[in-house]
Amino acid sequence: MFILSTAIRFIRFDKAKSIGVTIGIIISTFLIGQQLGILNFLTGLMVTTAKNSNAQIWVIDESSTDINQLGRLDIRKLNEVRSIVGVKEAHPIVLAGGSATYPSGSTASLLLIGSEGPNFPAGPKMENIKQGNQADLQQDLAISSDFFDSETLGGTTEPGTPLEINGKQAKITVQTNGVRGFGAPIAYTTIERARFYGNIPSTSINGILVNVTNDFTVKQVVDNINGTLSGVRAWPVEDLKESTISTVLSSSGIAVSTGSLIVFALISGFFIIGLTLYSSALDRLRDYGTLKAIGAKNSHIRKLILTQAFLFAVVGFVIAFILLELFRKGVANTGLIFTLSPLTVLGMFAVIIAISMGSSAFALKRIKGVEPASVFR
Amino acid sequence: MTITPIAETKNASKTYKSGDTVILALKTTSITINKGELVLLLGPSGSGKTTLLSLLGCVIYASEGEVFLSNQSINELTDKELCDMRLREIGFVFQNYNLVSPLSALENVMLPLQLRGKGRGESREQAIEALTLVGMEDRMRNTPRKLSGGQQQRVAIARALVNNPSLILCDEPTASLDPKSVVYIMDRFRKLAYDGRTIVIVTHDMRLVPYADRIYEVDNGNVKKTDKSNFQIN
Repeated sequence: MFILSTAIRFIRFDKAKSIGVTIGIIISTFLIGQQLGILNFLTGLMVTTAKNSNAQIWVIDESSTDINQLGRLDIRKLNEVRSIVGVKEAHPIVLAGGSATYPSGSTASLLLIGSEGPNFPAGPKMENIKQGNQADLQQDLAISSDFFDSETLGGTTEPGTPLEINGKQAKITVQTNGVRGFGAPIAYTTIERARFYGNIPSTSINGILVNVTNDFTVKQVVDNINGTLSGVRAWPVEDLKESTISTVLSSSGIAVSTGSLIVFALISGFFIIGLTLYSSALDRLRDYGTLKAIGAKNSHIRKLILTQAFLFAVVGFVIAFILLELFRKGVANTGLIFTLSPLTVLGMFAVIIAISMGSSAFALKRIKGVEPASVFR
Repeated sequence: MTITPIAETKNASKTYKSGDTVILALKTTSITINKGELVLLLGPSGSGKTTLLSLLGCVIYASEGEVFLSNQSINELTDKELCDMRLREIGFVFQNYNLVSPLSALENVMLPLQLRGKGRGESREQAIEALTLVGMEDRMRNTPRKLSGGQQQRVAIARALVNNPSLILCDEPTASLDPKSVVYIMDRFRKLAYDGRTIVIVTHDMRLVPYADRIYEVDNGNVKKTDKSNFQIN
């Protein structure tokens, strides 16, 4: 208690330096949180296709590890999958690239995701539909488009907007909310229409979405499919998401870029905090020397410095977290939607505490070297 | 009246090394300071008087010989035990007061008690008592920067007294004070000595001579006992 109140006095006394340390912590925390948030957003985009399907298992070609880069399967694989023990239902999915032209004259790439109506197992889910409903995708020429892709897609994605996909007429009938693709905007449609716009033969599909019966586990069915069928691989949906993220991150440089920014935020934070604490300690050397002379042990001094570092970290983190929340809410309006899980926030807090207390080592080392006798000089 | 030694040096000397050079700051010295004495260590700057004070104050070890405080040889103590010894047995008053700047007068005086692990309430009570003793109870909420030199020194004295130490060591306590404050401070020290406290003052201020029970002159590392009558006071 006495150490805590003394630490607060020290912090309040040296306002300029205290503000400096706190700002260092705020900048570090904010940059780390922002980068993690953007990474969370990007990894979310990478697995949009999987997230929006209702499937427990994806069966795809055996060489694919990225849901955004699926090879083609023969349609006959669908019946083979349906014959596997434990498979409750299996639906085909077709992914097709397309070049869309809008009334304004602008063009953009699209990823068409086709699955069977009326339930559309590949998506969109009802909770992600802003305007219209799944049944509207069964209208002639119907596709969906996302609210946040309006800028990319010629200014509007309102239902009723006509467009051309690979030179063929189409019409937006459903507007989704926050269902965005990693490489290109996503447009849901029927399987036939995806084939039609993407010029994909009726004998080809890109994957099979599987749900299992109650008396089998996902793992059992995955093992059954992988043990029985050749040329395909069954993935539990969560495993496919992880594989996709890891494949994209390792091939795109996103991980290196985000990781290096986080590392730089940590390093700069470490030194800003450390050197400001050090400078503050230098200003207070006489006080620390006096404390030692009157009988304070090094452990008292260590606790005093570390308590200050801890308080700085807590205050800086809270302010940075509030700023991050404001940033998160602000960018969510533009479609950059991310969440920081409690575990991530806890991890960030632990890291900030660690860099704040770790960087106080500079100050501790300096103060440890102060001889009690120095007060007589 | 029984004579009780509080602090003693027995053939103690102190050398400092600076590169290849060895500086003999204090030559072999044996002195005894008894309970209830007010002792002056007089001498010019660089004579070794502060080194002697540092030895008595357990802030440095003797290079040779022994230093005893309350019959305990400090040579045998670890750094940690030395800290405890300073906290329990010694009160310090410094030339520049050395109050901890971010803390109020009251908090400064509470420091030695809280470092000893005493609770806030008890520490506060004793600190107020000590501040009252030096006439600073009205300014106890002020931080050092809001106090004059004399007031800071009175707070420093309260801090030195609050743990009820057996020895109070003062390094040039009057150097930065006006004459009125010097009289006030020295009257306090004199009274404390009459009350059984032991006080050692390092100074080159001849105005303090009349207050002393015993005087040691320190010159070029040599310590020599001197009679008060050797000093002519104006």
